[in-house]
Amino acid sequence: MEAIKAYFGSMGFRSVRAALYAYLFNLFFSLIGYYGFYKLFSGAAGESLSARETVGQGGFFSFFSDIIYNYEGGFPLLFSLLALPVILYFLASIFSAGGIYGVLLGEQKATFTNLIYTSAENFFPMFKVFLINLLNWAVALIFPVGAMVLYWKPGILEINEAVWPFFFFIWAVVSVVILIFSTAVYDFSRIYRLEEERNFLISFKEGIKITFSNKINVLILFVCYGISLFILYLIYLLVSGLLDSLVYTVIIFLVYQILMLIRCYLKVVLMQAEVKIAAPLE
Amino acid sequence: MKKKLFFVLLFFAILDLHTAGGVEDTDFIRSFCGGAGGSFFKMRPLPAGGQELQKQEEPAELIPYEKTGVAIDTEQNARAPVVKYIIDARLFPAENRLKGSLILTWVNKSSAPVNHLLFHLYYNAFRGPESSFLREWGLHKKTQQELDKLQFGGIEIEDMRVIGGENLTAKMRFVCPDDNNKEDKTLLHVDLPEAVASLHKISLKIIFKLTIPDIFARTGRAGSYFFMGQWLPKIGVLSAEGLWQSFQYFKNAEFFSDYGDYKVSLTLPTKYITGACGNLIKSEKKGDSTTYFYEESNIHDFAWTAYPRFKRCEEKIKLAGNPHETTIELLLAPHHGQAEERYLNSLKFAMEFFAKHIFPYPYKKITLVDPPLKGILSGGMEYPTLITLAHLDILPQSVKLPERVTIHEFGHQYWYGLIGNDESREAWLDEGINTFFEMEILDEYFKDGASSWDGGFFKIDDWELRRLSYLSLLPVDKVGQNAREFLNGSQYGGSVYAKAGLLLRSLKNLIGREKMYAFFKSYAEKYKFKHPTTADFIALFNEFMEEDFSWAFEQFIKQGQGVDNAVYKVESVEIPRQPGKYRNEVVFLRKEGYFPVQALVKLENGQAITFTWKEDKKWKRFVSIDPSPIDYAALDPEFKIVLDKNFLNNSKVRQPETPLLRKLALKAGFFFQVFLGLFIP
Repeated sequence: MEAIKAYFGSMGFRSVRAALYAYLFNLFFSLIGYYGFYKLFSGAAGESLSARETVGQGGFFSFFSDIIYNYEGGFPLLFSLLALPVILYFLASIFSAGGIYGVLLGEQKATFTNLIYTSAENFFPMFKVFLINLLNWAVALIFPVGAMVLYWKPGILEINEAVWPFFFFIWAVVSVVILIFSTAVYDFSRIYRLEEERNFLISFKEGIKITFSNKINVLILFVCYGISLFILYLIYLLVSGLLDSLVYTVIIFLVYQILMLIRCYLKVVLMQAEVKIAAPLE
Repeated sequence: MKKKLFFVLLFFAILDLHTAGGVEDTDFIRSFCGGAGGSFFKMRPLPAGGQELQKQEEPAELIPYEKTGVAIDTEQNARAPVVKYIIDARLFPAENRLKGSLILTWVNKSSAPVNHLLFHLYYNAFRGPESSFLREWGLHKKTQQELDKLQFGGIEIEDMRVIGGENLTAKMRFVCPDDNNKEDKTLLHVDLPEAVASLHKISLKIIFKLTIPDIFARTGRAGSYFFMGQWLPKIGVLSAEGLWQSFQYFKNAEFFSDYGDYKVSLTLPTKYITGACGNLIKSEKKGDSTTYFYEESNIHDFAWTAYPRFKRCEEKIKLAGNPHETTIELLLAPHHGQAEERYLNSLKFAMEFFAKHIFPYPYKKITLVDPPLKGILSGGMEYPTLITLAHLDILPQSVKLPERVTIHEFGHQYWYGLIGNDESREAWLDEGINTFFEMEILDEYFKDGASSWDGGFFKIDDWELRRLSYLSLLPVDKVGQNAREFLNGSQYGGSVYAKAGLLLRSLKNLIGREKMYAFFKSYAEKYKFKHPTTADFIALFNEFMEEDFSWAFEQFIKQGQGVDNAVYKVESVEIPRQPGKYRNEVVFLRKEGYFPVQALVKLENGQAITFTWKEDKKWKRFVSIDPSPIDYAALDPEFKIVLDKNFLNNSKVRQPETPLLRKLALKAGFFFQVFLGLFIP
């Protein structure tokens, strides 16, 4: 109950500001992608009728096949270029997390000035916590990767084929649970580091402690978050059908951005709820 | 690392297993081989059960269906089938062996006397890493340690003699005319004591034994599952001029044999559920073993399977034009329940399609073998009256693998089974035609443009997947060349399956569906139970169409050409002295190949100017004075020439299509944004 209360209690205006802050980083780096794809498509098919024939009517497969085989270099070049925003955004997300958690933990208002200031102040501590959490993720990967490697060992396929769905079900469930706990460890390490201002090793240790003292709350919190994301996905499916028939690209772009903003909002709600869960322990 | 990628590889492999020209990844071998044996001569030690084999070292006497011998009734021989096989085989699962004997009656239907015979001993392709077949699979690169993990197999002829005549065993020798690989034992030459004259026959008795390899290509064993293809010594094909048209066994090359009568008795432990080419006449149980008697006429191969865990499903279908019902026998692997309906429904649809457009399937039975996962590499293959399929229950319904494989393999009952071209020298005649029919049937069966994969807004049609394979071709091979001469499996698949199929689809779109189907009906009727060649096909095509289509076959089958039509220039200029009048100019290009093509010039006022560009010229300038400027110009606006390598340049708009491209870029960009969203703080 405590986790549910924390999650839904975090859905306030304060979270919207922080979400907008997170979203702007996401938008800034994804614009490179939007522009890159537009340049690629217009370069390869800008004067072709193919766009009329394919967009909105299926037929994407042949359209992409033709670009890949006849304008080779287009996709590899774009994907190489897009690697840079991915790396930069990764760093930016560490930066913005410091600001969002800082504001959520403190009493100050979630203004952009405060968010940027806190982000800058907290960047290096956050980065150190990220580095120590590489250990967390290395451990978290042991089961998902190890189980797969063991499963594909030569000869094991001679086991009854019925094992396949069973194995994948167990593998998926256990991997998701591990993912939840490893994410929680990272989040609580960050919260602890910002609140207590202890070094990153102690923060990591405390992150683990807080996570495992709140196992049920953590699970419920992430389930709430997962359900919210799933509902958002259903909304996307509903909307995407309508978008295909829309002519105005500006509207399509705006709808995408609203969906993305909601996505960021849900993440900030989760972060706020984690702060609430972690607080009573101190 | 490769093992981790197994699932992905397996998916793509079976997606195009055989239907795209075979699987390349040799690591499949290890995935499916749990054995610790060595080569054919370095067998795994026999378990205790081996005593049974010792006792029966001399195989049980044949149960002859008819008396054989040398005949001199040439009139009767002219009418008789070229070959008659009477086979008695016994499987010893515990020893991984099979013992067999056969009586072969062969008629020399050529105009010349024959002083030697050639036999395909294709089971010897699995004899060891130095066979031509396994070299092509890359086994010669494996270390001894790696090889020791594999169970090889092979066939050994213990005795061959003319019935009532000389023992030929000492006159047997392996030959390797195709690649001079002395280690290859897949083609056996047998000198005859005296020549067989034209329209005379010879009867031989052959005693042979097999060691069964682990399955990694079409035949062998996986646990208790056996699939036995190319397992018997099979005589080659003699041309009308008296030349043997026989070849060693290669990775890309398939088979070529004469039509004849097969009478086969198989003895194996009773717990096994079996299926085989032909009709089951009777079965006899003796102790723990059962003997099954199969018969069929006018077939050119015999394959069979045995597995204790098959679920046998049987249905009957009455095809229009057939006086008899046809029995459909499906041998379903465990846990493949989801596929049962999909296999049967797509098979029945394909059978009815052929009955309507070609002629009804003439045999009384068709057997479908659905291999278990461990034997999946025997899947996606055709034999007369028997096909092997492929399915994984874990695959979502949106993947149309069972339907694609079923329809493709059943199509081979016509293009390979009933119309028996040489699959090695002119593989396109069965694979290309069959791929054409696969696309046609799948179009009708699904009607949703998603006959390969239905991923919502992103669908893949069968012909699109084939076209992708064609687009990836390197310009180094020709469709009509010998199968073993292709650079690799992808080139073979992209050429003889995809390119040939797409050529026929493009021709159908040019000629019209009904006329194209009528041609294939005529071709099938003319060459039923015969061995047509490319020359026969082209001659009949031109004769039937009453037009010379040699340009198509010359460019796309005999030469390595493709097609690329393009619009080079679109220009509209308002004439200064004639306000409201425009000089519209379009330049069309044939960047590669020649194919008559529909041209379209669409004006902004909606008026459309269309014509067919038939002249064999590389470019064409079109000029007209119109009351409106051009909106766009296009060659083949409906994408009927699916052989075209680039649809994007088939058209040119005067004003770039930015809103539509923006929309597409937005979609792709949003996916990137969502991907970045994974790293939201």
